[in-house]
Amino acid sequence: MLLDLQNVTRLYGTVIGVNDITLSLANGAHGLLGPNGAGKTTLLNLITGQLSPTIGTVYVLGEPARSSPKLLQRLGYLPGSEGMYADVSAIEWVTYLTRLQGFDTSQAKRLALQALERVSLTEHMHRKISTYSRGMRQRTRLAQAIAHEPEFLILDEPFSGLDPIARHTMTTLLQQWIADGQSLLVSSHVLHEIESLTRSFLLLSGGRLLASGSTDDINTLLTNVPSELRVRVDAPRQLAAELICEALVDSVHIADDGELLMKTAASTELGKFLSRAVAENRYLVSAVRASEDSLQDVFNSLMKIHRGTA
Amino acid sequence: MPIHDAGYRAWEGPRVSEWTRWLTISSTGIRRASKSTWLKRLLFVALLPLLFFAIPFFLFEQSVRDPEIWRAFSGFTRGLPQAKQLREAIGTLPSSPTPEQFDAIRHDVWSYLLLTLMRYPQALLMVVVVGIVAPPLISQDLRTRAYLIYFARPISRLEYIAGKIGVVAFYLLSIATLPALILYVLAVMLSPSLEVILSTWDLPLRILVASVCLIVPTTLVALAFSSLTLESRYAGFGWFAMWIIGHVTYSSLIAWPSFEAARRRETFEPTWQVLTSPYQVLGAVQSYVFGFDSDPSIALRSFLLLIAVSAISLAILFRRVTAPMRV
Repeated sequence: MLLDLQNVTRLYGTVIGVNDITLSLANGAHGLLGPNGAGKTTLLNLITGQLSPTIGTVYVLGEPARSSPKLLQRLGYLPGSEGMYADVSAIEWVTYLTRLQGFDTSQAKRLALQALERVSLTEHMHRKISTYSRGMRQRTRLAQAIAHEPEFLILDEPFSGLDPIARHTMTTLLQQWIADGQSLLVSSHVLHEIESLTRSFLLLSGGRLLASGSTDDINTLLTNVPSELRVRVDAPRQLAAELICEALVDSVHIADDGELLMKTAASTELGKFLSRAVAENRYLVSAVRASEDSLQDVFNSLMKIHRGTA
Repeated sequence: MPIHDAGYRAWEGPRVSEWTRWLTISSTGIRRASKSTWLKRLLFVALLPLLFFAIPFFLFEQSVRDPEIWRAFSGFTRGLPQAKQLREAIGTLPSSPTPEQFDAIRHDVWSYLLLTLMRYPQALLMVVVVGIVAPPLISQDLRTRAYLIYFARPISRLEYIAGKIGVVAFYLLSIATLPALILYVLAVMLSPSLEVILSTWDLPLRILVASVCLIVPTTLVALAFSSLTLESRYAGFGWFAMWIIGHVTYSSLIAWPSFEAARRRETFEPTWQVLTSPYQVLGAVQSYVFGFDSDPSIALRSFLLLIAVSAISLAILFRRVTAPMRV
């Protein structure tokens, strides 16, 4: 078992960091999704043993997460913050942190070299970190996380601030890590960043675990959640009337520019209806888009499910 | 044909003892600090008093054979700080002391010279060197949140603090202890015979004890300053301010009593005023360690103050290092 959390709650005074999370994860790659302030970093700090839960228990790789040096030797952690010394080179920094894992100097240097090679930084590893681009710094930080050959890699927002090329490089590196059969838990607030790595998601918001499962599971879960749809069509009034007659929408509004804005709790049926109508040439649909295009809206929908207001 | 496992394999080799991991933090910190040009210059300057203090040792040991040199030695020591302590210790000597008289005063003379080395030039250099080395040690980790990376490794908070203490202690040993020990060895070599070791064997131990009294509180206070802020410069400012304010307070407190005593042609000996200045407190304890303090109660109070300051600094340090994870 990779992770086993039982009723984990972490309070910061009167503020709830994570709230009553119970979770079991098997070995493999998992994405931790949630908007800013959702409690992702708190959860990762609980998993790495840097925080102790106010209530509940956290087991990682079968060992208690808190005060377990043996476990920390098996974990690789890339925190969301910078955490680097600017006046040293990448090879010095990674070697130093690998020595703190208990390797002697020569062994640590060998492992650091391997890790830096793996993140394609060998060419620049003797330069001071202060001269690195953000992407290079992020790769250096990844190197320190993997240098001691951990079994379980935990990454907190690894794509944050990276340009598309650096994102692609990071994605490729992590895909290779997963392909090697290693476990990974990666947090992000951007869905597509994690979709390219794993199909297993944990959705966290307001400190609560809202949903977990594959992309398909989550889509199924959201199928009948009230959602908004915008349709640009040649005969908006006629389509609106037909949708009301078919009881496919809860409300419909025709905007000044003729765009149909509708709310529906039966988005699957509505989608089928529109497809059929277009196929039969009854309407000329030029655009269909969901207004819920941000992850925050997905979380809002999930929150409604949890509150029973959906 | 054998099929090799070319996939990922976790490290299964040996690891170094967990008891020595704090040394990794220390050695890396020492190496990083040593990149400072100013620190290198200061370490070089710290060796110069050694050469200066070799002169009175040379004069003292040579004056056994030549009374002229004895007069030169007496004149030299009159110019040193707190020469009164030496006069009180060895009393009045004839203009041409005998070898027996030299043997009798050797221990006190050496103690005085070693104390003066540690108490004045090296102590002042210590303030500057610690002011350069210590401020960034913890504040930088707090600012960059490097502690998240440290503590995601099998390193406890105590080991982390021990590692940082090791950095400052190393430089203090280099500046305060090492020159004093070298000076002692030099003095033995300058003396007529190695038998002087029999009468002065305790001096290296006194140097070590005086060094501990210096290193422990100063290191902990400096690191406590470093842990209280995310900005190294504020920690440095706090460190230097502590010494300057302490010295100014002490000087102000003894100015009027000293003036009054001088008017009455008496000698004024500071008592509780010593406790207002970190420099004087350390000096009082070091003087006692070398056997020169006329009032043991001041030394005792100074010693207790150092223990209290060290304990408070350690508590602050530990609380601040664990604080990010508590919030």
